[in-house]
Amino acid sequence: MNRNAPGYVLGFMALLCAVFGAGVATVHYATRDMLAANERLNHNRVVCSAFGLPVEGRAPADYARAMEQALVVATVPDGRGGARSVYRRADADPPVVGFTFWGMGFWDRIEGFAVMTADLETLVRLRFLDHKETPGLGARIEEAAFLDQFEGLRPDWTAAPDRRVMIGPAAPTQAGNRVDAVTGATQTSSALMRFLNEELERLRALDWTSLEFEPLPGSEP
Amino acid sequence: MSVRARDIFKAGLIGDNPVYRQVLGICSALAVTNLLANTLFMCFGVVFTATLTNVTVSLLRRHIPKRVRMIAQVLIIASYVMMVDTLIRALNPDIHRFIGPYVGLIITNCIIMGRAEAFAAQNPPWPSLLDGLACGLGYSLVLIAIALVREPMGFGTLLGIPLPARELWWHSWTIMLMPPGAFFMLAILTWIARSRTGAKETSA
Amino acid sequence: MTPDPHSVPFLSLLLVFVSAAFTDNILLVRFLGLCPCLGVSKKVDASVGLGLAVTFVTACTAVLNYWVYRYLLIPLDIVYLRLIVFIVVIAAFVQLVEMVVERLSERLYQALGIFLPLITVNCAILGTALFMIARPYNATQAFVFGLGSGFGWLVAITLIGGIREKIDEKHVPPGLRGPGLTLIVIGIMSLAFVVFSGMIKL
Repeated sequence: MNRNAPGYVLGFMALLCAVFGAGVATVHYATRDMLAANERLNHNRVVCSAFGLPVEGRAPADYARAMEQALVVATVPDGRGGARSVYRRADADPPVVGFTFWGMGFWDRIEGFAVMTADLETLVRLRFLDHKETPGLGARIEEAAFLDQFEGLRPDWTAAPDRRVMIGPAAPTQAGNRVDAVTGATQTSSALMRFLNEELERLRALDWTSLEFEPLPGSEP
Repeated sequence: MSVRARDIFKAGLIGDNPVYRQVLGICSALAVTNLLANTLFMCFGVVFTATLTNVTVSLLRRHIPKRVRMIAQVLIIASYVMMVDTLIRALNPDIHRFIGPYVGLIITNCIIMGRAEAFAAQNPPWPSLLDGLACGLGYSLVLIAIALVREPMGFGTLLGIPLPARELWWHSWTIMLMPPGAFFMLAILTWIARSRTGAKETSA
Repeated sequence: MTPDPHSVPFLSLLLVFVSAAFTDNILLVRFLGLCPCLGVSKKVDASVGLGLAVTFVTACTAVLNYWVYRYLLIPLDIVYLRLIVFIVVIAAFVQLVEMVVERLSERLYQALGIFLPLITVNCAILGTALFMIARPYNATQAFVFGLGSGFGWLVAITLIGGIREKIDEKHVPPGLRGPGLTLIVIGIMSLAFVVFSGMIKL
């Protein structure tokens, strides 16, 4: 058999694609429910951690229950043609709101969750849901040393829309709206700064008084 | 261990080391060598994938048409890595948070394909398995050596543990954190290795 | 900023191109496509040849992959297979080009022939396809992004080839000749390209 005949080449590639495509698809479908559950658990964990909610155990249901007890949620347009959830914790004083934000990092999407005071004057905590930045460089945005800087950060609403929160060197360096960039990961830091500021702008544009917060739908079956 | 197996290991680790001798697999993988722990993760992934791919390509070697053999190899590598990635993400999401970002780096790592092409495409499965293992380890050797220099210089730590009395003498060398630092380190390493083993001409 | 998918002003295309070629240079900033670069960059003309071929393939496969992704993978809900599909599209395209060139021009085939096997495995091309779908581009922008990416690779490998031609390797310690020296050149150049980052914000 001629291994270089176009027919053989095409047939071989088709077969190879079919076999390996089917392999990947099988694994994907077999684990789909687990993946979805894991994703929800990760989301709930990050939300609980960002709001500082007391969680009783380590089981998925514990996180869901903690959220149901403390948070109310409203669905708002995300300003990019979709919808998303804004959470509010009413029993905190001052009241705080939490929201997801995302944008392009160096390699792929970075997804984060931020909690702010309801007047949007102070950031309470920032966490990341998902990212694919370079290990040892951009991925260090997940380290406590970087995340802790955001606690109590005050966006400067009088500054230009892309400089309300500064990540990296800025003058004056003592400004209350500035955090240090991750050393060696300029691109990740500046990308984060860009889409965090975009998100702040969208949040400010929201009509907060008309939002109707509702109890969380029981997210666990 | 038979004589043949020993030869394969010796070639993969030293004589024909894939990194400094064949100049393969240096792409984006170099970015991770600023922390030893990340380097070890990456090495494990490469050894595993290289071995698995080599065996598969070797089994299929009589059927893969010459014209498309490289692409067939990339396809095999990508499928394996994606399957393992999905499985880990489903079974243990906490581990996946650490290793997820390496997936792209492993697929685009040309060392795996280079070995499949140079060795597994012409040899039976068992030697191919050994070759994948040996070259993966040879690759790990070089990356670990680089990480052993970069992490102390850049972060003042080793495996995350601060070096003794680093306040007295250590100052962060930012270039060691950035990818160019890896290039300079690799150049120096290549220099040393080639000077010691004799600079025979190789084409990458 | 999210570009409006229906109108594509020239300036925005220019921005996509320049940022893909320089601020996000695929070779010197993202370090993709390094292995063929180390092997081929000995001479300027070989570098330019491979660079042009890569640019052509990157631009065409970027828009092809965009269509496949948009009109095949998303409707069929098999986005998780994108990596495999992209690899196959790129390989098929290169095979097709090879066959067309072979029939049309013997000379072009001779010139291009040695580079073609190197192209399918160039991770810069696959990388471009993956970055492209992660951004809110339309087909035109995807094409320009691919063109910019490939052009950036071409510029980088030509510069490296030029520098390697100028360095008289006779005066270089034997162990450092070839790859060692090239690595140092790439390291220094990538430091220079780091400065580009932050010049353009998209």
